[in-house]
Amino acid sequence: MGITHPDIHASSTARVSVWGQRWKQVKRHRTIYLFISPFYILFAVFGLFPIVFSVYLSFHSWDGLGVMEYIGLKNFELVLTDGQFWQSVFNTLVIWVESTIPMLFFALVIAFLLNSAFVRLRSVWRFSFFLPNITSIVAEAVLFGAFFQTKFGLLNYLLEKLGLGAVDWLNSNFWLQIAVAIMIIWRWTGYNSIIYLAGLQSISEELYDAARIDGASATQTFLRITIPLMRPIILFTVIMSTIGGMQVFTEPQVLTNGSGGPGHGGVTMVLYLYNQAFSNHLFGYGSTIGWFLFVIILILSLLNSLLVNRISKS
Amino acid sequence: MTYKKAVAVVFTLLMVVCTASCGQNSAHQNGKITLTLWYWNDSINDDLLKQVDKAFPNVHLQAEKIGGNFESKLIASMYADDAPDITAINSADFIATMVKDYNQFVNLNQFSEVRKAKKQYLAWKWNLASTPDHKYQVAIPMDTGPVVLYYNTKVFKKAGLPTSPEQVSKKLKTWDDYIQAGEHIKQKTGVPLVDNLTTVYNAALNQGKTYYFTSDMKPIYETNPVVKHAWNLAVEFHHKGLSADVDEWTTAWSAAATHDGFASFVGASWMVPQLEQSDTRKGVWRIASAPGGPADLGGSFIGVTKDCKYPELAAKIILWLQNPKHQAQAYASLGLYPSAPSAFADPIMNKPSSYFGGENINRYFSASDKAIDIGFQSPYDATINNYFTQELALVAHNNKNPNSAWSEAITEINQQMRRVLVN
Amino acid sequence: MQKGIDSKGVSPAKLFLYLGLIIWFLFSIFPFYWLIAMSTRGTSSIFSYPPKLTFGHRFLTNIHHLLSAVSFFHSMWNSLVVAGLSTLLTLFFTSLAGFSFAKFEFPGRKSLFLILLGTMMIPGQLSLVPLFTIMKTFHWVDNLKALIVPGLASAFGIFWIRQFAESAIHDDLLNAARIDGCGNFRLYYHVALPVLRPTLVALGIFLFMGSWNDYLWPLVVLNSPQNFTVQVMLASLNGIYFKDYGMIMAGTLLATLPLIILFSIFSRKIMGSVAIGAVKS
Repeated sequence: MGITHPDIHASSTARVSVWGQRWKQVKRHRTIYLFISPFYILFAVFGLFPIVFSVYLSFHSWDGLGVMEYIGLKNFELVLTDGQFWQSVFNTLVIWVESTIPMLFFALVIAFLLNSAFVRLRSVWRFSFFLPNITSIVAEAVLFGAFFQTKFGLLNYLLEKLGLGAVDWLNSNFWLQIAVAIMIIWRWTGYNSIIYLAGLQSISEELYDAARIDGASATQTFLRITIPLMRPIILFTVIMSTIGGMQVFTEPQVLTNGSGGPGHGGVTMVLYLYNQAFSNHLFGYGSTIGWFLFVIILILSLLNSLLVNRISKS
Repeated sequence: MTYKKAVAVVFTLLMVVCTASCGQNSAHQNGKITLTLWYWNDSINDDLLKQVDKAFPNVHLQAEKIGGNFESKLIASMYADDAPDITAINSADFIATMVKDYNQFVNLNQFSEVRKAKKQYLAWKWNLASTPDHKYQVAIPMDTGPVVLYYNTKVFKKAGLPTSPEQVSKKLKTWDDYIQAGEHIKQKTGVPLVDNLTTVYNAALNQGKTYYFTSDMKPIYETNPVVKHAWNLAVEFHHKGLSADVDEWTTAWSAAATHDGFASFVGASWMVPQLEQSDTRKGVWRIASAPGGPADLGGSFIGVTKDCKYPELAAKIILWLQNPKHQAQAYASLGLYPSAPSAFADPIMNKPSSYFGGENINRYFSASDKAIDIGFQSPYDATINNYFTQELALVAHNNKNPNSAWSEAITEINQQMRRVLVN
Repeated sequence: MQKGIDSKGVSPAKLFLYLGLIIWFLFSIFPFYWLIAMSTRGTSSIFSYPPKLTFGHRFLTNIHHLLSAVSFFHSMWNSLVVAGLSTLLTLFFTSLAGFSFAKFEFPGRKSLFLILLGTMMIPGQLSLVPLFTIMKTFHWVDNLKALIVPGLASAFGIFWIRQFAESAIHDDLLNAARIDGCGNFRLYYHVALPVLRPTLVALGIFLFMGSWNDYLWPLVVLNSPQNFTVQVMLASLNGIYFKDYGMIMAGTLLATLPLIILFSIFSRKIMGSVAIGAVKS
């Protein structure tokens, strides 16, 4: 841009001319500022202002209808000591781990299968694996809710037939979290496998040929060539599923009709925020939970980027 | 397309967005006043709502069935000053919240028609929707929730128990009698006695005269013997294996009812259509008086909000909707038990029901309804009740230790009450 | 080398491969089959034991129940209005801004773009409560505008377009147009837009699907059924009409159908841009 390094020892007149020049530049590009302005205007109104307002709200107690009352840091103190909130953090992490690891593993396996030279009907496979991703989560949850019925549910019928015994999917914390994870796996595995497939296809065939000439075994090729070259893409999917995993809401909300299950095992962070703010009408408290959510996501993003740095260095 | 046309298209789209407002407020439409009404499925007869336009020729009533969380949607609309003109209010718990926020409603006492109609309704029910000083009337009563025992004669017969309502009512007078019969049924047929622990807990709780708070808002949920008794009773059902553990208002419940999955349940009159639609077999189910005595399981109200521009007209409409004759019809079609006692004798309420073995089931409902003696309900009762019943569900489904379930319920309630009552 | 031989005979590797693919195929597709089958059955036969997996003949009855219980098509229309309008307008605003960031040197470009990227890091849930209160001040609670306007200039969309525009639009082309006396908007309209069209189609499909499937915000901000989007309607159906499962399944099928059709037409494009997005960034 060339105009942003004014000489420190420059005289005041020179300074004026620099600024004058800059102003000229700005004026010359006024239509461009107009072009980009909608984003900043909308962000100011619907992004920035709400954030500032949520700071204000978090210092107040307010049921939405009555008077707002200033209560200092009370909300923060209450969140810190709120067992249910921390349980919701734990639930979210559990669901995230239970869904992300199998999802990415299966996606990788499927991508490998699809990438082998002799597979036929590749587009049919791709189409059907991706299809779950375009259904809405609400539709998915309504549908899977029927699968997961404890009594007269299809899944438990199969489990009983296989001699494994029925499972109380919607009432036990453990199984409810598995159920949510299964839904996430169903929806996102195909999506991730398409990404991995693209990554695999971008690895040049020559590298493999060279390895083969050097007498490398299949495992060696996989570990030495495929994995290192796929690393950035795998990291990308990990980051995306972390962001998604922290915001899980619809699956448990629809599956349990909003309650999150009797043991609150399906209460994720966002569902807890929603319930306290919009079912119990604790708007101040809900705003405070929002801040905790923000900090937790921030910490996880930092950990993610730390991981990215370390891996890309090694 | 030239770029000028493109700009025009974008601006047209923006205009569409600006005008795409579907706000709902009372408005004149070809000389008619449009009033909106919110209710939920099966709370008011749909056909009756359609008749409003005929009974009030200058009115067009726009009735909207609200699904999902009715309470939170209603409060959100009040907060946005965009509430429906008329709204139904579900259950005794929620009416307490609405009485707390009484200024969101029109004071119905200001209308002479309402003051005149007051004596038509059960006094205890009417008072639930008044401020403590009785000056401000938030809503008028819709239905009540007298509790009875529904039982499956097929299962009772198989277990060698009496099947006629008189005998069942006599034999299962107390909860202890009921449990004894349940153990017997379980031994003979393997069928659990009740649908779930929550119905037991709620019925036993509402048979008491005090619940979670005293009338001067002192919390007693931890110490009240009524609460503890209801809890222990539910736990006893669990220990003895007398519960099928299927929640009401679920497909599993409907399926279990059809497949003789439970032998009986205690419930209010609105379970009549639920049962009829779930289990289509006629003559299998019958009704007797509930073990442990009469109780009210809730029932709704209907009020006019502050956002209504024609409050007097709206008040007339709700009185018309809830007059004794229409309440009697609501019982016949939706199983909603009237809050106006003069309706009890209406012939339409006393037809023998072929579904329930050709009996006039109203005798048991009206007996229960007349004997109801209700205690103080706080705005927070629903929240607290939720914690207790969720912990009970854990006892039922996960075999959680009842003592730790109780203490966890108390801890969680204490925490939530701190959040609600901060400062 | 070995490939040639493998592709003809039936080797264990090949067997394993197809087994894996078929298992995942069944897992992916079975719910759709079941959804269609259940929407043709009555509730009592859905919850019969053992479960029945074949088709029934109650599809039209279920649809009839659905339409008489709720104004389902009205919700579909609301969703279409919201998703359609917000997609078209977002494409306009984001392509304008993305093009500007990619092809113009103007003071503050770098920092403005950094701010834009930074806003993508803020989770939407942080401002859920205050955003709702803002909608009250605008009188947009229970109004479709609340679903359309806040997202009109998506940072993600601008970022996406800028990435593409930087390399796809040639500077010579712009300069030539400038010499012809084109103003900036004409440059956008006559030079940039034609080049950006494929990206815009891909982005548009994503925006449309995202908007169509959005649930949390519509759930918060919409109150009356006449304004429900199809997702909110579907969730409320599930809560109230539990006894009529066939009807709920028919509704779920109808709500999912538009996107399945959209995906069938654009599947290559959609999967292509998913892959490109990941490999490039």
